Amino acid sequence: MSSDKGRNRMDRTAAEQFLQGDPAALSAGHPRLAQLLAAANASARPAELAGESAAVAAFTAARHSPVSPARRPSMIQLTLAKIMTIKAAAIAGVVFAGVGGVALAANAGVLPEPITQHLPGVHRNSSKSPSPHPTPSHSREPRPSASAAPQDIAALCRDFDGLRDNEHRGRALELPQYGELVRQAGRKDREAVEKYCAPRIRPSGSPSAHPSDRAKPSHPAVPPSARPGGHSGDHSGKPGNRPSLPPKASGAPGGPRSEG
Amino acid sequence: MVAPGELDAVVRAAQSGDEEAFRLLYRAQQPVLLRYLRVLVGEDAEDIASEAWLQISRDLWSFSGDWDGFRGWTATVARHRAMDSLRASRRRPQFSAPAEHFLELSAPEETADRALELVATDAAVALIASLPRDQAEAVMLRAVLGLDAKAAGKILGKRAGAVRTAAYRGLRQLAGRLEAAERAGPAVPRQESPRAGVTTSPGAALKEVR
Repeated sequence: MSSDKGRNRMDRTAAEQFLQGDPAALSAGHPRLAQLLAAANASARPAELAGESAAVAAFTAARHSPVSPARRPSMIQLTLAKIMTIKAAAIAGVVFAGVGGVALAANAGVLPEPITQHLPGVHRNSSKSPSPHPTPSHSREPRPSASAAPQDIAALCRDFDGLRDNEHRGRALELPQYGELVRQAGRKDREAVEKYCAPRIRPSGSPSAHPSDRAKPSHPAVPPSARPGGHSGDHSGKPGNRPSLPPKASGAPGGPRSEG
Repeated sequence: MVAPGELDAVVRAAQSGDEEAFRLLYRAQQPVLLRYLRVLVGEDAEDIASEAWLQISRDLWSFSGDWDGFRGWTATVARHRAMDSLRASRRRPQFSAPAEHFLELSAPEETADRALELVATDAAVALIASLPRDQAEAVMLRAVLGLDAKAAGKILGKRAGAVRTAAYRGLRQLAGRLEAAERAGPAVPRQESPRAGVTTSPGAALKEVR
């Protein structure tokens, strides 16, 4: 518009400095603009946060009854784990006395853990025993033996394959529950994992090619112990402690943050 | 104040299911997302923001990154929802917001006037929305959502340099319009503006003041 005829033609460097977080870069030459951007950046007002309870409710619901396909594996694994455990108990009771105790405990329903969480060292053939650990710790040390049972891998692969799109699959590789796939595929790379999984996806008579189970364990991701130490206590414990609004760049008109 | 470093931890806590942490993230990000959406879809912004948060709360587990990353990711989600909505309605709302309007509403000497300040926020966003869309988005993402040129470029599918240029042009145009309006007449802060009739904007600045 009339900017070129304006008294102060804007200096591009100043504009960039401003955008990188230096409010003073524009306020001298273009006070009105600085004012405008400060207004656009003004702190939150109640009406803007009207959807807060709905958003939090959605968050809670997503946590308790996850719809995300990535959460399916835990169910698949859980189902498998139960079936396997029954066999395991039967076999282990006879063959592996040492493992039998755990397996029996599991059989008794005490240890409803997904099958990927075996104690290292106790799995051999089908005598897998779910881990007695109360918290899932997927990122444990590498397994001692040649890896997970084919059923585990197939279930993980099917689950991985069921993720919505490439983007999701790419991101999912960051999650601990797919750590085994990454290890098996040799690389944390979507295509490598897909390639690895392709021949294993065939449903091989396993009971859960397409699980219809809807009930799912609460939250798969991080065990409470993995939460950021001091902070997590802060938020969950004492919400009122925290100022309700995080910072806009302090008082600065426009206050953008640093350039990356 | 929650320091940015601390917000990284808040993001992690929310990912592990901490409801209060999620609430904090919402409070931090929702206002600027909403303003950004207002630039994209006008008065549908609230609805689109709700949709975006639904998706954010559902997909948070699969997000990996810190607070900076979270800001960029949520902007991406919001933009996708907005584009879906625009595709469905096949048009972008037309924005026209005279610079005078903002000048009348912004009262530098009366910063204590909170009501006026609130109106000024809407007027400012409406004025930014009246820029060509690439400039409006670049200005919003950088100057309001606080993203750097690279992160904004990722959201817009452009190179960082192109975003810098668009943001600069947008700012220059805004400055020019404000200065021209100021020269044209003394901008006396008034709550009831005789020029209000000039505001032909369908996505009007004042509409959503509550």
